[in-house]
Amino acid sequence: MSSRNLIKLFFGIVLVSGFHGCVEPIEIESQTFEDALVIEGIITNELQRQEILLSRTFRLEERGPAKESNAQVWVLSEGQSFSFSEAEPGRYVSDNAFRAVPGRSYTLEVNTSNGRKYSSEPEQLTEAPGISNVYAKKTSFRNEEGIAILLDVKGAEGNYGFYLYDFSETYKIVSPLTTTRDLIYMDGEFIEVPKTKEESVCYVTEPSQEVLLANTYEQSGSDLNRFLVRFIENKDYKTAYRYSILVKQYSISADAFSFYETLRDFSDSESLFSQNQLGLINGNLFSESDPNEKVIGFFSIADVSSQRIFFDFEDFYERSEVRPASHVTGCEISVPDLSTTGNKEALAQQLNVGNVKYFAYEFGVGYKFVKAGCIDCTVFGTNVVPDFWEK
Amino acid sequence: MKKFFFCLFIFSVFSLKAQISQKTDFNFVDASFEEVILQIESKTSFRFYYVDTWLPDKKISGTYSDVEIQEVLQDIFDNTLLNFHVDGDRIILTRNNIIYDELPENFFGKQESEVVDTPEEKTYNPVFYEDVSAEQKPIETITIGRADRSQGKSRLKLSGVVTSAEDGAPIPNLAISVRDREIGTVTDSRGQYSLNLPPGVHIIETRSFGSEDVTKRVVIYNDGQLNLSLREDFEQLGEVLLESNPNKNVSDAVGGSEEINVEEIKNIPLVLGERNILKVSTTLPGISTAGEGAAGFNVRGGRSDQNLILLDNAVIYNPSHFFGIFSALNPFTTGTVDIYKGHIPANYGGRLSSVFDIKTKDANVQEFAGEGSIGPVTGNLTLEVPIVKEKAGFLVGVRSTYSDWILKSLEEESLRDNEASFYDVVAKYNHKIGMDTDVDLMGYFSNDRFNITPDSLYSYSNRLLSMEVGHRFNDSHQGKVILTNSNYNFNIDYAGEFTNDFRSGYGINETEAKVHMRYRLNSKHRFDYGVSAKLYLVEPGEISPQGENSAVQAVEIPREKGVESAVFLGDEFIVNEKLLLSGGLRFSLFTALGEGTERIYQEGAPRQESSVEDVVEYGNNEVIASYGGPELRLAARYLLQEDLSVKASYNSTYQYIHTLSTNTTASPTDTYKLSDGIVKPQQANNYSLGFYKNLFQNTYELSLEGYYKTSNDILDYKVGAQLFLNETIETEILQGEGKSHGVEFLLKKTKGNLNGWVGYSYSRSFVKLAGEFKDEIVNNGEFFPSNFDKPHDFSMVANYKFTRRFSLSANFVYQTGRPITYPVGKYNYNGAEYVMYSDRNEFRIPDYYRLDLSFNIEGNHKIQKLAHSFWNISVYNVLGRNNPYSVFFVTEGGKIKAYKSSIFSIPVPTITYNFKF
Repeated sequence: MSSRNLIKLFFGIVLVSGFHGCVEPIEIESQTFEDALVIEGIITNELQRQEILLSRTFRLEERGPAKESNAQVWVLSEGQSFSFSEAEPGRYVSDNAFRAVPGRSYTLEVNTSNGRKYSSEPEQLTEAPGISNVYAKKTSFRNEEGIAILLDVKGAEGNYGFYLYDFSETYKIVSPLTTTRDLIYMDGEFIEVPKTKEESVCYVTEPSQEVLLANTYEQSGSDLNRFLVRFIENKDYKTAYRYSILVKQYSISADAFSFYETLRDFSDSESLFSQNQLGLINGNLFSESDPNEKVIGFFSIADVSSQRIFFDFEDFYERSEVRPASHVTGCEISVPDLSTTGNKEALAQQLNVGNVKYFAYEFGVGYKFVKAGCIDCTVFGTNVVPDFWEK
Repeated sequence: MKKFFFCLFIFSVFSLKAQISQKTDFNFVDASFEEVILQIESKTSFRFYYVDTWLPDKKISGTYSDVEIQEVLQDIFDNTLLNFHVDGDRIILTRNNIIYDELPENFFGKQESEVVDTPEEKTYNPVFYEDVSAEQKPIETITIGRADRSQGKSRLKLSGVVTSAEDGAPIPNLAISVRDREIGTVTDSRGQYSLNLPPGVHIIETRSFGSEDVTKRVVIYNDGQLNLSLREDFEQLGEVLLESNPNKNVSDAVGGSEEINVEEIKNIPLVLGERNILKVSTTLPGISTAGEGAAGFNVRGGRSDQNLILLDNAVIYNPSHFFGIFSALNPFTTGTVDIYKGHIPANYGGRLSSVFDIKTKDANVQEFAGEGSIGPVTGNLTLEVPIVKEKAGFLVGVRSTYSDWILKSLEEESLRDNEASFYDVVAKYNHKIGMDTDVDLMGYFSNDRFNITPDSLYSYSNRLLSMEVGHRFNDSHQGKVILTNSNYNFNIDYAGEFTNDFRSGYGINETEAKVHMRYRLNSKHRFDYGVSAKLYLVEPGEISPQGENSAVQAVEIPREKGVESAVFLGDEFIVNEKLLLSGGLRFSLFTALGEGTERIYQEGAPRQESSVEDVVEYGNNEVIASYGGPELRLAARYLLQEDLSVKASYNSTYQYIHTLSTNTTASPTDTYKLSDGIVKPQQANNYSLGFYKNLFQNTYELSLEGYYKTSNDILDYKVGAQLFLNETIETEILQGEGKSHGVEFLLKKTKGNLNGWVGYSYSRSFVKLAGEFKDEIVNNGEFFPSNFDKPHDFSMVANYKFTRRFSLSANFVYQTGRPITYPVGKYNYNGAEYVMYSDRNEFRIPDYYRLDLSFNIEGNHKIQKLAHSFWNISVYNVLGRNNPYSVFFVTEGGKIKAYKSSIFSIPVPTITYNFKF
């Protein structure tokens, strides 16, 4: 972590812990709303169908995002043109697989359905060293015990590296309650039937939500050592069984880096001591129709490199010492009154929708039910073992 | 009211003879007039009718048995200005309207007499008798001219020059009045005055701020001259303040200058029991702060780094304690505060917007004196010790917080989790060598330490050293040599979890040598001239790991060095009685010196890390860049009427040192930057025009001023700028145009039981950032409101004296909310939600208003009492207005949350005990 970032982080802590007396959360209300196009796209040097995301800004009190559909998207490179088509609303995928090649410049062009034209400044691929090592280490961070996912890059001597990271973590979950049978409602009666799908062991995959950045510009060497990608507390259910993380490194330009850095800084805590100069973050995109129109985003060409690691809970902890929490809480068993048809039908409805799950039948008590997630882990993830999963 | 007294007076005249005898016993021991009157009223059926303020500050002792009331009164009111009239049961006191030359000859104490500057030999020397019982100071008698009444002139002209006994400098704005006659004048800037007097005996009195009050008996027969030499006298400050410089408002050449009377502000409501000199200045139009907790000032639309704050000529970089809530200036040791917000005289330079010239008072060279206060947060003790009687004295003032727990227990709502302690010490030694040389030495140190989280310790300190040697060469030529050094440091010590312990900070040090000469050419011209040189050493920032396991990487931004030098010449030119010109020229030169590196950025490419073409290394003291230019300081005053003037000024200024701050708060992490090859000096032109009027014998002062200011190369920042510990700070800095204008209205009532002022200003302040490249253009390159653009600013300070002992003060402030950059939408990027911000400073936080009240209880006025004391009870933010300080947005777990911060959202009561001995 560069020292500058560290200061920032530190001030963030100061604010949150120290000034809560006079810092209070408030309802967000938008005074006015400005509509703008948001363009997200990183063309990599991996041969694949590349992706460009188009959306629009939305009101502060709304839940977004508003997708930008029916746009025409191209990436142009020295006479070559790669066209994109909308695969799902707002997501545009190149018609053919291609990859960014060093020494060539690439430009993004977008024509939106309202007739406006947008383009990017030309961008080039900067070749960079890949991730040399991703590893997990038991440590303590901010007074919590846990596992840190760290990363090393062996950089080329004399070259600065500007890196953007994202990760995708996949972890195994096991339902706290298991049964072999389901209950179905048929002709006014409940009937037990054998389960037809795996509901006990699942896999959850989640993308990263924060902007992770590192550079070697502000340090002495060109290597990146022990860069903290992720920290998972020992009580976290994500590492309760088996955990995998795919860390992806995008080597981007200094300009792109500063775009992401500003994006990250704006979303950090502010304090009395460190206010940032707020405003529209300048990317490399502009409107050709109106030079004063605001366009959000950065079109990047990146050298990509990734690495995946796996580990088990037992690799770091003794289960007798550390008890991770369950991924689901509130698994109290209830026995509903099924004396009337109305009640039965209401329950049948709940079963069908998947809110509750049948647990067991007890003589003299009746049918027992729990919250669906307590039995069925597919509420959270998939019961299909991912392709990359290694035992 | 007036009518009522008038009627009484008439009535009393006619009933003077109708007295009723009442014989009683009285015994007064060191009693004040109030006490005497109370005693008489309690023992007899007499009731007194009078105006409180007429009663002299005199103690009465005496025993009277079986006497007529008239006899007692005769005795008591002997040697006072009061006459009494007994009317039945009523005793009506009137102020003596009998002129002194008709009083009995033994009325005054008489010590000596002399003749000065007479056109002819003196021939008349009145004889006075010694009067042992009176407490009157001896009055010197001066005879002007010869007793030759045959001339028959009904008016004679008395003129002269009033100078300072210490340095021979003329004393301007000195009120000279003739006792019990409606005759008076004010000395001009050359110290000159002239009075038209009827022939005869007159008591001439002077009243001024900072000089002793002099009373002379003048026997005038012909036109003549009387020159006065006055000693500086801060002891008298408290007694004369409301009458000080009665006409200064109108007659001064300088528009847009303010003087804060340190004694006067003791009545203004306090925060946490601290008198805050600088906070008071913000109640004057044209001076504002961004809000509570903002340490800097914005003067006439200028950035907070554009103010030159001087304590005894040394620059004080952070004049506040604890986020600006407390002033770092000890109110007990501060003598005068002069604020120049419009016209800045040529001897000051280096900042664009204003000068706050704060002087520590001289130590008492007569006798030991002290002053102290005990408040909820701080204790303050100031002592004045004469070292060599009449020549040298030492003053020391110490102020400190007691301990953290007081803050914690008192400020439950807003400061509960904080720990803070601070102290400041000021020491001054003043020594008079011979008649013509004065030496002043001053040292100041302040230190702040505060914890907000247990793992971090913030600290900062100011250290000032100042020496001033003043010498009077002859009556018209005098000068002073000034040496100062200022040092400011800020540090963060962080010892927390993981392995990130560090120590970080920055510092600035400056040393200045200055020679300031004054030369009076003749009665029309007075020149100020001199040279100054200042060396800056800036440590912009560093961070170093602490402890063996710290993973923090040491970073040190290289030191910056620069020399700012200037020559200046100013002339105060009295063109005629009505027109006064003050012209000044300052030529300043700044040189940025090595060691240093300068990055050369590619021509035609935006300044960023990737466009560095070359790095040039400079050796020690090698010139990196130099800037300079003439600065014009012109001001003029024209008297339209005796109590109505118009003033105009034009000022140009340069500034070579910049505070780096994206905040409106003067944050402790705001570091400093000197101009270099890339960062150009800031420059401003300031035009102002104002009208000044005094009403009702200077009881009311009225001013209306307008200004227009343009500035160039003022600093601003790119979106997302990181300023601290940034080695390539020039890539974050933008320099643009500034423009501000405003109208300021101020109405002051200086006398009476109700006094105070009402100020209102309408002002705007804009910035334009239109660089060559996209990220150097803000808001499409058009003018936009600056961070501290607050169009409406109203403040009121009012004191009401119920009696001599009880008074109530109120302070009300209303300001338009300051501009902020506010979210206008959200968007998703990289899997998380982010805020889209508006154009820079497009919106405003809600308006700010606040009412403070305070109640003062003075101890009784017995002069013989060991210590004089007063209590102050005040409530800050009586209305409990939750004034937002800032509104900000964070992304937490991929979602946006909004927060609002405020400093004092509840009424804050305090009680303070002050004493003086």
